[in-house]
Amino acid sequence: MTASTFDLESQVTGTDVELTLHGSLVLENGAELWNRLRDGVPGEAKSCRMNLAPVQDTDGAGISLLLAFRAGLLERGMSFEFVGADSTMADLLDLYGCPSGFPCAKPAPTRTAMLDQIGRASVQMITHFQETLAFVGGVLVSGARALREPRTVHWKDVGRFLEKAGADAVPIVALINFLVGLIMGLQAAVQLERFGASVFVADLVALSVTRELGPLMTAIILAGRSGAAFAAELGTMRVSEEVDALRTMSLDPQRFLVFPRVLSVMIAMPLLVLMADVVGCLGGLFVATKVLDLAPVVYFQQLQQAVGVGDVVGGMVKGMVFAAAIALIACQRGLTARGGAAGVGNSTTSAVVTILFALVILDAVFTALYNFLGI
Amino acid sequence: MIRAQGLAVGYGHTPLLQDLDFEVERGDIFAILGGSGTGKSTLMMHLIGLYEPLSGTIHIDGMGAPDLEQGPPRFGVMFQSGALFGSMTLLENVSLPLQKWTELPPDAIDAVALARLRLVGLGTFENHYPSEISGGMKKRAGIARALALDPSIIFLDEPSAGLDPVSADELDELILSMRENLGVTVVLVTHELPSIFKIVRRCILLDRETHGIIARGDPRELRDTSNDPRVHRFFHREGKAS
Repeated sequence: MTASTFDLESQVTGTDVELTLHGSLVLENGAELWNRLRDGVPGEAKSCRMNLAPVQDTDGAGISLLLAFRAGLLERGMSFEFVGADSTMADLLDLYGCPSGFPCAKPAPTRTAMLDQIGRASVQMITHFQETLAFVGGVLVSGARALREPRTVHWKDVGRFLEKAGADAVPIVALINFLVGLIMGLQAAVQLERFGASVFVADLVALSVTRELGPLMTAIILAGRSGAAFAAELGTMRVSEEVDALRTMSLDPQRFLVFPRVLSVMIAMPLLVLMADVVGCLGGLFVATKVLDLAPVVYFQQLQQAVGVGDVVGGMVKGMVFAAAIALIACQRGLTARGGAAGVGNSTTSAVVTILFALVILDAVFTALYNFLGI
Repeated sequence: MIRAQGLAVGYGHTPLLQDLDFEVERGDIFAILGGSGTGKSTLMMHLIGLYEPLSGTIHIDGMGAPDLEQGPPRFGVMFQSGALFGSMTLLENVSLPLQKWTELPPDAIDAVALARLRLVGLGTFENHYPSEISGGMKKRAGIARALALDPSIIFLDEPSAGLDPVSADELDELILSMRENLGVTVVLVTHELPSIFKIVRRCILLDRETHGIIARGDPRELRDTSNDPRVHRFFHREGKAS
């Protein structure tokens, strides 16, 4: 069947239009049929009759287009009538026609004003924040109960997550933090050398790594690895009814699923931060010895004077809080996932974005707090 | 055994089903029937206490209103997909409720869990993970887990949906034997007619348009005697146009 086998005659009498269709109303002719139908009825027309008697054959697409065309005219307030349809076409028109109670025409898209969108987004953000706070409270209560009834916690998972979030993250955390130390050292070297203060590269690298960059970079890596994994895993469990199955066994998902994850990352994170501090300083050492020609012993002596136990422990404490935030936000987003694979994707994205936002906020709070406490 | 009075269920504030009154007797195989989207699974989720009813009451003998916070659970549930935990083997899945709610030593837990798996014909698959077995086997493993604590009631959500006829029939036989040999009351959600006529003793038929129950009783009797065209269409697999 080709497009040449289709034709449309349009006869206008005052405000009445008679359209006569010839040939094949099939998918191959669909584009031409649609364009010519729309051009065949003038704007001032009040009624339309469509004569289908000369039509030789049709298919579902052709009938759908005729019905959509009719719906458009009815919406304009015109009257419309199909005439001359043989029994096959009449059956197809019935089959594709509008069931009672359902509008035939496609509803006009609803446009949402910008202020409306901003308002909805703001309400959603506040709701998310409230849900997260409620979730944190719930986990704290669950944690307290878990300590009273240790049997209800899946302790086996703590070891598994410690390995996944901690041991498996060692290579990437080490590499990233070594490079961070190296970059910091290189940036500092150029400036410090001009003032003959090359030795202070150790101070700059060590302090920035232990107090700030070590915990923060490690937290960002943990958010990307474990945070996303927790959100996706729990989201999948949620949409595949595994969380409901746990509840039907009277097992609290927060105690059973969330508590082991939070606990394991809170144990793993300070250790990762400590390692990050060491390898970050080694990155600085590389620059000091290879670019600034300092002796390693000079670098370490300077480092020892610059960095105190408080700096290292402060960074580890900060890391532990970051870890709790990462696990809690990821689990909360995962457990509220809805609607299959797309829902899991959305919850994972939302988890990572929220975690990064939370890390920056928490880091600012810690910086202010440590300054205030003189740490 | 289970009694629902004036029950309205749904998500949010909109009732999907309302004015539901029915009873499930001890030792029954009771089915919640209806077409897709009528709210069968929603009703079951409310019966097991995953959601609070919008109004009305549910009473389960020996438990009162279903309360999942008060362990150990009095009933077992098999979800449509099996809902097995992907990070655990079948044996670990079935062992989980035993570990959490009994004082059995680990080797006894393994023995009980293995017996459950044997009961559902998965005795040689105990070390397989859910991803390594078929859909029908997942459902059977889900039943084994639901039976782990010897509940007096078991809820099954579409047990034979998506299974080949042979597997579906095997599952029907398993449900019948659970009732006969273990005395378990079975509440199931389904729209598989062969299963319904084979195993179900009493049923309620839900309707999407009236948001309620349009028929109740023995499904074979309803099939043969009901004059309601909606009931006739359901039990004779006829569309509206037929």
